[in-house]
Amino acid sequence: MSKRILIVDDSGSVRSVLGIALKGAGYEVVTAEDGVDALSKLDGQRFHLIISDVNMPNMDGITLVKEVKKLASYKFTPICMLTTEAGEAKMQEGRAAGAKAWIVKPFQPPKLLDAVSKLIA
Amino acid sequence: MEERVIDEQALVVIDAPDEQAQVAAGYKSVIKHSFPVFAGQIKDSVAIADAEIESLAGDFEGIVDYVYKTVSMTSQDSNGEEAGGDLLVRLEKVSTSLQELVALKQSSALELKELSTFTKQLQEMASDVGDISRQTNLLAINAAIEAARAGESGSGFAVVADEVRTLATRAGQLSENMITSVSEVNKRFSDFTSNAEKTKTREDDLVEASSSTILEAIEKQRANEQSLTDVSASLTDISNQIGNKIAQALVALQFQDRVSQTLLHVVDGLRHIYGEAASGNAIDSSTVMAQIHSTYTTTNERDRHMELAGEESVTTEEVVDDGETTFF
Repeated sequence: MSKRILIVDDSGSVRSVLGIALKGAGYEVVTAEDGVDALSKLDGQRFHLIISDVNMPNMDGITLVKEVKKLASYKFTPICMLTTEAGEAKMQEGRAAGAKAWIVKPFQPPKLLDAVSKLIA
Repeated sequence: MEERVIDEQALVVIDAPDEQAQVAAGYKSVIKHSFPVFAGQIKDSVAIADAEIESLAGDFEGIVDYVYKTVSMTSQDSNGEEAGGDLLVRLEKVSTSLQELVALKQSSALELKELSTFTKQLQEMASDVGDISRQTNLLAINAAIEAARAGESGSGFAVVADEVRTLATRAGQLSENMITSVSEVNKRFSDFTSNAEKTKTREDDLVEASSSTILEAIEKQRANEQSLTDVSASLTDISNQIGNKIAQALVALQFQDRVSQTLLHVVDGLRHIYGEAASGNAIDSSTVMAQIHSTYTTTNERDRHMELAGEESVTTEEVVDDGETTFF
């Protein structure tokens, strides 16, 4: 059974390119447009990894990480931030919230897949 | 590299306070009217570009799906080649079996020919039995004559002689029957070996023709398989190349997100200046530039700001390179 990944990004093109890269590697992909949408998609589902943008409307990525960590069934689910944010301060904010990795956009598909397999293993 | 947008040398210094106030009011008015237009134009452009790129990315996703399906079909063709290889092995076995069958028939014919030499011996033996029966018959006749001469005392012997004669006669008939049967068997053997010899050449020709037809089919199949293998290898190569191009395209498509973010940060900057201008307070350039800098998310934006604003930029922090992964 393929591993399920939730992609959270307000950019439709980023959701598409992430979907192409991950589905091509055999992962099952579900998408959400922001933090609020992501939390509704988590309900009653099981995901092996969450890949989230940081700057999004309604609920940003860092807040999403904090909210996900409050959910008993997702407490140990790894979360990878995928963002244009390259600053150390923001990255440390993500780390403190409970994210497991930080990738700066634009991502290179092989590097992304390598990170995904390490996070899911 | 772009040149600085504003040439500071060309700026005119205005000393008179009234004129300064008039110029400031003019700029504020321009800002008030033009910045919302700029912001609106940029936001519209971003929205259009986002929608178009999103649609393009969606189409691209569809194309990639087709590519993956093609790769999958190529892999299935390769399995077909394996089945073809199995067919070749079977055809080769049929050809070998055909040759073995003919060899076996020829070997049987030779054995029958050797068997026919035994039938000659059987004929001679039957002939000998005939000779013996004739001599025994003669002996029995003589014994009967001698028994007749002996008169009454030879009557018993005459009975024995008569029985011996009967046995000799039956042995003679048996010998004739044996000779007839053996001759018949011999004739059949002879006919069979003669036919086998006659058909041997034709069978050899048939086997050779069949074998060469099978071998020809095998060669043709092998050539087809080689051709399929070449096509399959070529398709795999093309698929790999397409895979690399897809990876490059995926990186390129992500730039729309960055461009949109940068343009929206410009809009934020314009709004901030508009707000300051609308407030009626004096505008402090350093504060405005620091505020604009604080909205940046990408290394590129920060670098560009540094390059164009020079010393007016705020302090920089450590940044992670594009595409880099940091594990916590």
